[in-house]
Amino acid sequence: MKGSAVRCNDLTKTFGDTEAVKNATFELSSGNILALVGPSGCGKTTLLRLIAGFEIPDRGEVYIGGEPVVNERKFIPPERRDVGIVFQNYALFPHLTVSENIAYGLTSDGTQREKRVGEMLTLIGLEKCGSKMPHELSGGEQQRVALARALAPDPEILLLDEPFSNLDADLRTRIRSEVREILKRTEASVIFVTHDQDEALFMGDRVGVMNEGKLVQVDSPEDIFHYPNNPFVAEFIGTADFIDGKINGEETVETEMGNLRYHGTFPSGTSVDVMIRPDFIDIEPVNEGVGEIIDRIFRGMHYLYKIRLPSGLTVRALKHHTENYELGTNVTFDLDREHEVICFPGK
Amino acid sequence: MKLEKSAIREKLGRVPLPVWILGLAVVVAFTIPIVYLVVRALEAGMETWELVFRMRTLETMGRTLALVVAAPLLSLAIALPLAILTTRTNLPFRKTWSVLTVLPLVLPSYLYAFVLISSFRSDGLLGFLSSFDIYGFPGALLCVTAVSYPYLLLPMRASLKGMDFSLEEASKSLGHGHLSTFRKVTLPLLRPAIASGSLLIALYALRDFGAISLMGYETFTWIIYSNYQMPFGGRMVAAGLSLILLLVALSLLFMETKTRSKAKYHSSSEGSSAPDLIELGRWRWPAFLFCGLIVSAFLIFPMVVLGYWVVRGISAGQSLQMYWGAAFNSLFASGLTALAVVLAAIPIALLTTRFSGKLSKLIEKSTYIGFALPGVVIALALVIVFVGTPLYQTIFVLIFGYMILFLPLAIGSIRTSLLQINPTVEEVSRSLGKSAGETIGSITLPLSKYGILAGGTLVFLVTMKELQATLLLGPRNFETLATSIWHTTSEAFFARAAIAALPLVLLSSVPMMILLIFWHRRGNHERISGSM
Repeated sequence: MKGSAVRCNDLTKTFGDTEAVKNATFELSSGNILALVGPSGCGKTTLLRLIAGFEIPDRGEVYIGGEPVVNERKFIPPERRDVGIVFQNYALFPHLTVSENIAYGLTSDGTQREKRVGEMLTLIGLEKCGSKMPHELSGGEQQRVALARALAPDPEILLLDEPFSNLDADLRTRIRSEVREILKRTEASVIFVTHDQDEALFMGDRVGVMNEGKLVQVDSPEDIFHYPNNPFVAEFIGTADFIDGKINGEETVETEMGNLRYHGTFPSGTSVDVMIRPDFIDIEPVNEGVGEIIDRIFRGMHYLYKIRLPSGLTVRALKHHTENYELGTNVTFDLDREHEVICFPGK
Repeated sequence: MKLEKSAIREKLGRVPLPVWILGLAVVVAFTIPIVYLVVRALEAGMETWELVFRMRTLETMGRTLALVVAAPLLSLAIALPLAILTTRTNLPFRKTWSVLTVLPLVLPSYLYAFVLISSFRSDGLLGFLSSFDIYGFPGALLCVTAVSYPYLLLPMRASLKGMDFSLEEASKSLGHGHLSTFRKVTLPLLRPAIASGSLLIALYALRDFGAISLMGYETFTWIIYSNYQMPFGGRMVAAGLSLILLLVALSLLFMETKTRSKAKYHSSSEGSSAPDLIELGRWRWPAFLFCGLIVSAFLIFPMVVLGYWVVRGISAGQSLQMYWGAAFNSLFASGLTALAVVLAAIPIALLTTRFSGKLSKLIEKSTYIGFALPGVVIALALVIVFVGTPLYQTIFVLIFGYMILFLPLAIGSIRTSLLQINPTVEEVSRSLGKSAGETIGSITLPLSKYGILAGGTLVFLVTMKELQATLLLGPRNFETLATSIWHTTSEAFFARAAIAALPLVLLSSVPMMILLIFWHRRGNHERISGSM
């Protein structure tokens, strides 16, 4: 069994009246990547800074590599936490060369130091750039140097704070797979902060969703997507609509779209909100259909149709771009009756 | 969880303990003399206060305020056209003019007074125009304006350059022409720069001693100085008068800080494309002539007069070597001061930029003392503190006085470059195993080296020119170039004054060049205080 890279217990931090992080509790095992995702201001960066030691928690504990770094009795300063960090702006030392930047955190001397710098340059594919100054590099290259600098001392945990948000959209997809590959090759333990759900699902072995200071759910990317444990996660990760439903005992929930199988257990008769994802629904234009198309968004490969149900609630459905229906068209639904939908207790 | 000791240490730890101790020591050392002056002045007896509050004081206040109001107005009349011509028009040799029109800043006011007196006195260079009386208000006004109008020119030009040009384009697209756009959009946006620059000039006029003393225009700094030299309690009267001057200076400074925060809000460095240059058409050459006239009056004329007296002095057998001693004293005192001020300023700049709290705010404010107080007040305070001690009238007290006066200049310059460093750069260094102290040494200071150098250079430059504190605090018979020029001019030895002024101008122009290069690198002008 792998050891624990980071463990946070009941970590809480307030700034003035706002609780930036509330009772965060989680554990990350060595060699894994945890992607922390949430809307801006949800506290994910504060959580990162608490782990790095740049903020002092009001309450709670942090363990790095099994050792306590902050608790009620002690506070280990950032320089003795064995943490590597890469910021959004890369924060390369502008007065040092690429090699000097990478060597900055190394304690070894002489040839060992040079060897390590060489290894890191090879790892990031910038062997020829060692003597360049940071401003001579492209954004993507600076990004990789920042990564190499943080990895060079072989930290117990690597923290990445929105590392791709300064890159252009197309560069971003390329760089993030490069980075993921580098991280996997070095078997680093990583906490990665992003506000982009696609990025979180792509990068994370585990994904943690944060909202208003709370760590709402930590799970595998698949489970986060398929089994969100509250409506916020459902809407934030992927697209979701909710319709009213009533549990009718026999593993099914009764809705205006028909009886659907559901995941989990509720007492019979419970009112619930049923999560419907666009890819779950297929629509057919039929004159007597109960749904009516009220909006159509062209997404290149697909159309995303917004359909009003008899109750007035709306759901969205994906169709191939060849299936072009006019607004006002009546439709019926074709659902996969074996698929289990997710229900949340109704309000 | 209560904040444990280790956590408190971390909170303060971004600024290590030695920095705290140094910074606080500097602040305490620099504040005590002024507090002491105020206490002593308030303790003074009734007879002293009767001498302070008499008719003569009121008259002096009137003369002082006349200069304080007139100097910014005349400066505005000069600087506003210059600022527009050199940033927004197709004026011939625009770049050259924009450098030349700022250079008078390097001249001390007493040097310009020397130039005027040695030209327009009946025994002077242009003595044949003897109907022209240069002494008194006109002379004082001209001197103060000549050397301080760049304080308006610099922020106005920075503001014009940094302005978001799309605002003016929007105005033009809405049917307003050049003039109407200027009046309705550009000028209102310039207002903060005008206000802040004018207040700096007002402060300069309030503090000036060199020009007003030579011109025989008795303002507050003069009566403080003359009372100080009077026996039998003159010093206490001077201290009482200092308090009044202190109040006026503080209120000007208060107004200045108010306008400064607005100026920040208004100026935007996001200026998009370059603006359309205004075609001057047939006004091109008159505009050229205007710039030529300003540069001739405030730069070329002084240099020619200086050259004339130097040549005349040498041909009459004056030795060039007679001011070696003074030149050495100036260089020595200025160099030592620049070094000492930078060393004192670094911890304070670190405290005020890296630690935000009530204490660091207080520290920052207290260092503005030198900015608010005329040299004569600070000198008087130090005299009262040190008189009777072995340090009195030694170079140490003089340099201490210089330090109080010029600390804000160095702090300002270093702060600016510290603020440009992204805090994440320092955090990365911490996470890579370097302590807060090591991080300051290996990251923070190397990255702010230009600010530190510029601060030191600026202090060197202003110390070279300093007159009042040098007269009051210098060791007996300690002559600098500044005091030599002042003494010889007041005794009408113009050739000697010129021979002392020549090295001052030459030695000042080197640091001025360095500063111009720094400011150019930074792309915006540094805020320069009124103490130059």
